[in-house]
Amino acid sequence: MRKRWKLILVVITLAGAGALLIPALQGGATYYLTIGEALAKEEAQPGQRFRIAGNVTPGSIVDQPTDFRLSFLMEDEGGQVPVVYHGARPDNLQDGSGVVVEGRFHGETFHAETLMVQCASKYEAAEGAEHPAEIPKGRDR
Amino acid sequence: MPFVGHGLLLAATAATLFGLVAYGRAARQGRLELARQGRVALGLATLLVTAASLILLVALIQTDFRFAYVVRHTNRDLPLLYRVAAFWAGQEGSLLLWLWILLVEGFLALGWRRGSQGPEAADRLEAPAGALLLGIALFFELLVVTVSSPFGAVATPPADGRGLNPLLQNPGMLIHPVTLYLGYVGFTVPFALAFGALILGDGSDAWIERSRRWSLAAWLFLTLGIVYGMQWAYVELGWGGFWAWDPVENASLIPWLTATAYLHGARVWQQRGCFKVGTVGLLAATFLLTIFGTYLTRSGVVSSVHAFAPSTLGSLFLGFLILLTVGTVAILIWRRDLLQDEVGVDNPISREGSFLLAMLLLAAAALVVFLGTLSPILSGWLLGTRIQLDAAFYNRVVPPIGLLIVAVMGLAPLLPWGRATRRTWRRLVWPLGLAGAVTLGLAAAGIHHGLALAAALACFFALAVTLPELLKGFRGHARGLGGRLKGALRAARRNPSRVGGYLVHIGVAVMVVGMVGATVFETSADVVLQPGQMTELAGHRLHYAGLRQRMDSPSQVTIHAELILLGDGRPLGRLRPEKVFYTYARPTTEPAILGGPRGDLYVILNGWEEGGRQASFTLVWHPLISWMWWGAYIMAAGGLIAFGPTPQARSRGAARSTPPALPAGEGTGA
Repeated sequence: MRKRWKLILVVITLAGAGALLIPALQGGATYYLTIGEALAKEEAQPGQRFRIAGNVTPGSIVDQPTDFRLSFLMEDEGGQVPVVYHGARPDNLQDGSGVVVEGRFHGETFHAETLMVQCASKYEAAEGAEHPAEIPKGRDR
Repeated sequence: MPFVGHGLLLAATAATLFGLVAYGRAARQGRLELARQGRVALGLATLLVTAASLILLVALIQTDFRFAYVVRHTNRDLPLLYRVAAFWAGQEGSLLLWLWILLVEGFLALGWRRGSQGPEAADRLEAPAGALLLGIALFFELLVVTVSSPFGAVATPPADGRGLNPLLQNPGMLIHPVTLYLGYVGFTVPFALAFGALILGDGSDAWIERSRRWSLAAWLFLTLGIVYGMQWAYVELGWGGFWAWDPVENASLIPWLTATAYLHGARVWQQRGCFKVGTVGLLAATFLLTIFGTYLTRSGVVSSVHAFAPSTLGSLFLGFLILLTVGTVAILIWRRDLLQDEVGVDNPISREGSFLLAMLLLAAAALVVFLGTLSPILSGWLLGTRIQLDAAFYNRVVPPIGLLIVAVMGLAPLLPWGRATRRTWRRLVWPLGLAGAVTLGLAAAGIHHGLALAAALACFFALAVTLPELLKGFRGHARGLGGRLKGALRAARRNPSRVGGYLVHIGVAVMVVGMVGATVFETSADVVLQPGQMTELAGHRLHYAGLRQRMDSPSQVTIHAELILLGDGRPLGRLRPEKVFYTYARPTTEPAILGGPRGDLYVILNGWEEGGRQASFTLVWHPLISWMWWGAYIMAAGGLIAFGPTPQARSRGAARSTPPALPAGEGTGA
């Protein structure tokens, strides 16, 4: 008896966690890709949500604060992608910054819903130093 | 000078190695004089690392550019406080800080004042625990004398250093990393004591009492470190988020969850002699997760991809982590007979049942966050593509688990140990009624968000149970505020774990109210305004008066917008979001926050057109967010109160004057 209810409790907890996890997995999963992989995947199956990492191409940042529009080119060894983001410009976004964007392609352009900027790798160590500045779009939080 | 620091670290490594052997032999042979040698070596290593750390600190303060580390992280213009903070701004310095904290805590916990204290059983724990602790210290020492030396020398010192990233030049940089490190490192001492006891074959709860304050301190620092990080992100990074489910943030949350579960398990072990495997397992998990967190932040394996410089440290930490995990699991399997529960849990509807459920839920939450954090790696192995679980995933899974934890937290004080009776159910009526009434009231007031209503029910239920439980102990002899206060003090002295624990629970409920308010009911708007124009957000009317400029110093200029919050015909407050321009770095954005118990109005100045004819703002209304910070302060106060000696410790201390009773059967005490 004693063992059995413990088992039941564990099973219920697991089942509950599963019931929570499965729908969340469907809604919250994003492909984490390099630019080359993302371009290939978009060609095969357009319209999916991606999370892409790369670096800002120097000289490509166009900031229109009064239109809440920020655009830049993002590159890595696998290619280059134009990115558009609606919102404020993060302080640490600059030429060559490492960025991680989440969103979808609309034609050639990647529309980022979130934009994360990595701090310069020079300050890699401390917890605070690694903190990326995330810009949430508000609604999904 | 750098070579002196390096030499001291080498000497510390030698002392550690010697102490490790001495403690190891003492543990095997049970010889006290060997343990004494180990203790001397531990003290010596602590002293040497302290000296080395002070050398680096002085070099940073004096900007001694013969040190490569000083060149890389400071410059002559850097204010004194940030020169100190530069100690942990870089990889090498932060590892040295880790080692320093580890040895100082280890020395205080194991080597200090052993002569005057305690029965032989306590001394027997020292040797194996000391050996484990020194073994862990040895790993960090090897790192700082080989691949990650903070004492690299510069042949020809440059005229000036490279400076500290302006983003790190914030008071948060002084407190947040150190607090987190104290939390991370602090779990090493309880881990060493628990596994030392297991290695010795001591299945009693003596290690829990000995490590109770160290566990509590580590938990308190970890809590404060996380909350301080949230506050820093909220006020400084400028986009109104306090938690982004970033891997680095998760790396601190996961051990916090397992540590919280461990503290509860230890309490049941002491009270009832059960949950032994769970308690030790959770403690081991917490300790391993702190190393894992360090691995995660050093290796760049999750938060970044190929483009960022990968460091060799990552693989070293991974190797160390695997070694520790295998060793821990092996010891647990080897000593599983020692961890047999003395009493089973007869009935799920009981105090111990609620503890078990809470521990399971906390562990489940930890597991979910852990899997989510590792999702790109795991999916890469399993599916061949890297899939990232994002905030949407966590926001669906974690809040329901969190609310269940709050509900169990509310229920627990009502349940008796052993078995619930009919009286138990009667005690449920009125807290549940009160929470139900509040929830219905909120629903009637137009709040129809399911999660928010569930949170209100859980939190107010927990508060309605816990507050009277706490106040019950506060009744003094005298009436009035003075009598109550005296009663409160007496209650806190008599049973610090109980009073402190309940206070922490109240803090958690208050914090959850704030979290739900700030995330579920957050509203924001992007607006472009001309001077003289008005805008409105969530019932707050703002008038934009124009841009102002201020010269802060020859190298710093601030431009701020002047916004006035209007009440009924009169101004209620003023908001000044800023952009700060430096001659030597990129501009930074400082939001303006006007807050109170109802919520914070948060304004970011995005930019402006030439001459300030138009400026663009992001306005955010964060309802109830200050409740989060108040809840955290209450939690911290509860944690501090819980530091007092427990009744068990006091009675044991009294028993010590007579010949010491061996703690073999003590698990069921009190």
